[in-house]
Parts: sequence; C-alpha cells; structure tokens
Amino acid sequence: MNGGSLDIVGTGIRAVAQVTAEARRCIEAADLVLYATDAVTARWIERLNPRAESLDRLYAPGEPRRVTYERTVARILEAVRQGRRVCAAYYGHPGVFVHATHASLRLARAEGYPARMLPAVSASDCLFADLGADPGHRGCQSHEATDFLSHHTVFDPAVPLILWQVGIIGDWGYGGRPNRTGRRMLLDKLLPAYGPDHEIVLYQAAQFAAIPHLTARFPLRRLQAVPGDPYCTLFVPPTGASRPDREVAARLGLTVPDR
Amino acid sequence: MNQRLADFLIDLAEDVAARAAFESDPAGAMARAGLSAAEQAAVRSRDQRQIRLLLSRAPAGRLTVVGAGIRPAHLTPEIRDAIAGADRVFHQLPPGLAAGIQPLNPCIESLLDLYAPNRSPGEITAATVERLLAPARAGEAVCAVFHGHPGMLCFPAGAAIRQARQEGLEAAMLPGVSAEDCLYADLGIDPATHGSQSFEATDFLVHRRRFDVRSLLLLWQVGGLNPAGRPARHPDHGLAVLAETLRGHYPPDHRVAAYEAAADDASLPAIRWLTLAELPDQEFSPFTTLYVPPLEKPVADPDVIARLQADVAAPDDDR
Repeated sequence: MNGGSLDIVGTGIRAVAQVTAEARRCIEAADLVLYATDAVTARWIERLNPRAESLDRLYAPGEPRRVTYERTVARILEAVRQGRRVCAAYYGHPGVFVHATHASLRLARAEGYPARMLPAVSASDCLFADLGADPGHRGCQSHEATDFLSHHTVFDPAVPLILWQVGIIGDWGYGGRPNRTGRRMLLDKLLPAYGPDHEIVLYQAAQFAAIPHLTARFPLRRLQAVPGDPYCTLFVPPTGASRPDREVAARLGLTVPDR
Repeated sequence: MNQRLADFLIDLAEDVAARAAFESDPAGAMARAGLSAAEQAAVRSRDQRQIRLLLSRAPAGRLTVVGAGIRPAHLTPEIRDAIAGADRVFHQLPPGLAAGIQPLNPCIESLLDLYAPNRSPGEITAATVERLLAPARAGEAVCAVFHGHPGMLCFPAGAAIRQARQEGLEAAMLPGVSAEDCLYADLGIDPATHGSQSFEATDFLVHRRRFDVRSLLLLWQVGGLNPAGRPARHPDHGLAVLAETLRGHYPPDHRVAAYEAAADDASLPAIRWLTLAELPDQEFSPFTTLYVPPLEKPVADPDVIARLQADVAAPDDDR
C-alpha cells in the first residue's frame, strides 16, 4: 500500500460549533481535505488546513445528481490512490442524505486502503433537541417527502413523523416554484390519519452560532403554505392515545394500568 | 442579592483592566462575566433603576441539557463551552466520558447515585429533575450532561427541560452524537435512501407499531425485552415475541444485525449478523440495537411521479 487512507467526517449542522474533537483532528492532520459544507465551515476548514479543496466545483447546475455523485467518488478515490491521507468533510452527518460517502468508503476498503466514517450531529439530532420529541417515547418515522408520496410509504399516525425536504416536494431540479400538486397529494395522504386541525410543525435547524432554530406551527389543512425551501422539514406530532395491547403486554409479563 | 452582577460592577470600580475591557467591548466583557441577556440590556441602557432592581434579586437560573456523545472524541465546541460556562455541572456518564469532561469545570457532580436499584424509572426521573432544578431555581447556570444525545431515549433530560420552562427558567437542549449516528457510520447505511423507522423495542411490541418493510427498522434496547426474567427460548420471552412479530413481515432467513457502538476511542463497534430464526437464542446487552434492513427496494409509482412532474411543467396561468 502507498500510505493512502480515507477519513470521512461530518461537521454538524451548526457551523463549527458542532464539529467533534475527532473530526477536527482528522481535518487538521489530512494531506488533503475534500469538503462539501456550508460556507462558514468551508472557510474554517481552509483556515485550519490550507490543503483543502471544495467538492462543490464538481457540481454543475441542471446535471443529474448521479453524475455529480460519480465525479465526487472518483475525485476522493483518485486522491487516496495517490497515497494521500484524505479527509472528506461533509455538512451534518456524513452518512445521512449523502450517496458519495458510503460508495467511496466501500471502494477504498475494497482496494485495501484504511477507510472509516466518523459519526456527527445530524439534522434529526437537532430536531430532537429543539422540538423535544424523544424517539424513545413512541418511536420515530423519518422519510424524504417525495419518496413518502411516490413509494406510498406505510406510516403509523400514533408515532411522530418527520418529512425531509418537504419544501421541495416533487421538485427534482431545485429552485423551481413550489410544487402545489405535491403539497395537495401530501395533504390528501395525511388528512384521513390526522384530521384538518392537527397541528404540524415546520422546522429549520440553526445553521450558525447565536442564531436560534425556526419553528412555525399551523393546522394540517394549511399545508399548502409550506415555503419552497429545501432546508424546511415537516414534523407531524403523533395523534391519538397510544394504548398498549393487553395480550402482548401479558405475554411479556408487563402490567397495564386500567384506563 | 445578584452576586454575579454585583461582582461585575465591583470589577469595573476596582480593576483598571476590567474597565478598559468593558469600554472597548461592552458586550464581550459582559458575556465573559456571565451576565444574562436582561442584565446586559440593563447595563447597556444605563438605566440605574433597572440595574438596582436586578441587583436586588437573585439572577434567573438556567438549565442547559447537553449530549457528550458515545465516545470522548465526540465532544463538540458548543458542548464543551456549555460545560465550561456553567456554575454547576451534573452528569450521567460512564467513566471514560466522565473523565473527558472533568478538566472543563471544577464543579462537576455525578447523578449516578440516583440510580438506586429499588427505584422505579419514574422515581429516578423525578429525583434527577429535582437535583438539576434546585440550583437553577437559586439562580445558577446548570449544565446536565448525558450519554449520547440527551433527547433520545433519555426521559429525565426531556422532563427536566419541560419542568424548568414551566417554572419560568430558561432551558435549552444541545444535541450530541447519538448511538444512531454511530450505527449509520459503522454499518455504512444512509437512512435517507429508503427512510427509517425507530422504536424502543418494548414499545414497538406492546403498542403494535405499524411500519413499512421497505424502509429500515431500528429497535432500541432489545436487551431489555425480558422484564419478567423468563428463561431463554421460553415462548413468552421478549425475543421470542419479537421474532414472532417480525416473522409476520419478513422471511425467517431475513438477516438482521445486533449492533453496539464502540464505548471508547480505542475499541471497535460490535456488529453481529443473524437471521430472524436465530433471534430467540440471543442474549443482548442493554446497549444493543437491532437493525432490520429493508425487505425490498421501494419502487416509485410512475403515476405519482407523472402528476408531480405535470405540476412543474404547467405554465403559471394554469394554476
């Protein structure tokens, strides 16, 4: 082996404030940092390690995402094969909503290079902290909004539901006008389960230090008002009482209090 | 009396350097002295009556609940600052993580003594909330540090935040790296690809939660599925009930992973693949999570895609 290696790290959601100690060490020690982050983190990375290169230049507007992703994998692997200690740094958690990282990791390992992914604070971590929705309580269902429609995803209304990228539902190109059909179809899917007055929460995590997160609460029937913002996430609180099943509880040896 | 504000004004009177620092950067000097937003506003407004009023009463305490991550190397700058800047720090951490935060603040206390074996989870939560809020009520800035992410499978943290807010105290939660974050990194799975569903294992069974077999399924605390202490392979052992439930959705040879994140920077995660048929024979630790991969790849309904695309293609005046 020629000494090449790959560390894939995440920089968290709140720029710089959520970088783990180990991610920072990887960025500092790398021969080359390839990054796809927000601008504040990008600047911070370049100050920390001048051997840094943005992956954004591999992205061309209007191009299918798959092409960008293949080019990213190729760039990361090219640097590793040159024998460099490469650190790929991504916004949020490097394994969530990112194709190129998992593929790069598999490829680097298949070629015999030491390669690892380090966990980071993700967008759902921020949501759980800011909205106080502990998934240990009733669980959690988390889906990309367009997939949730087109896959006819089965869901449980007694369990919290998170729909990512709800602002750009039905919009593959980014930057188009809000897709009203997508909003109407989502409303049609959610209405029978929750009813028109169920309160839903539009959430945006804080991306910069000293800036608070944003929440807007409104009844489900006003779903059409969701802005066309890719950073907006829809949180649908659970509805109805969640009653334990007596038979299952008895088998497990749990006592269920009478109503 | 508000000692924090009084001490700050004493420094301004006695210490030339402190006065110079305040004159060149009032906001920075006040923030470094730990003054609250209300105290800073009062000093900046030069409203003597307001300053006297704030001096006469104890400052409002606050509670910051933070996550230390799973391993010591998971500490983030915002968590480090929250710990370092608090008047009192309480933690509920295993020894390695506790040692990692020890140098950050001289006033660190463990909450582990509250976990007496004869106490119910509800009693532990109530005792934890009381321990955290007592100093906050007295005006101190309290930081509570939990293992992993404080908002995930951590009822005392959420309860303390709700109670603090109810009493009019400022309260915030800062996320930490969770066991779920480690699982995605270690198993090489992107939960966004096909969606994810996660449940505490007992809750999943007892409430018969609905889920989609085409999305990944995570079950937390599968090691706690045997509350009645039934012998292994008993038909009513929690793992037998779980295997039976999952068998209603997946074939018996469906492979699942028992996962436990690495507890320190030198260890590796524990990952064991097994079939659903083998599930009743297992013994899991309290930290084991069961990962059930999707049964099949979801297929997008072409009709839904066509309707969505028609909207984007339609001219504006058609709407």
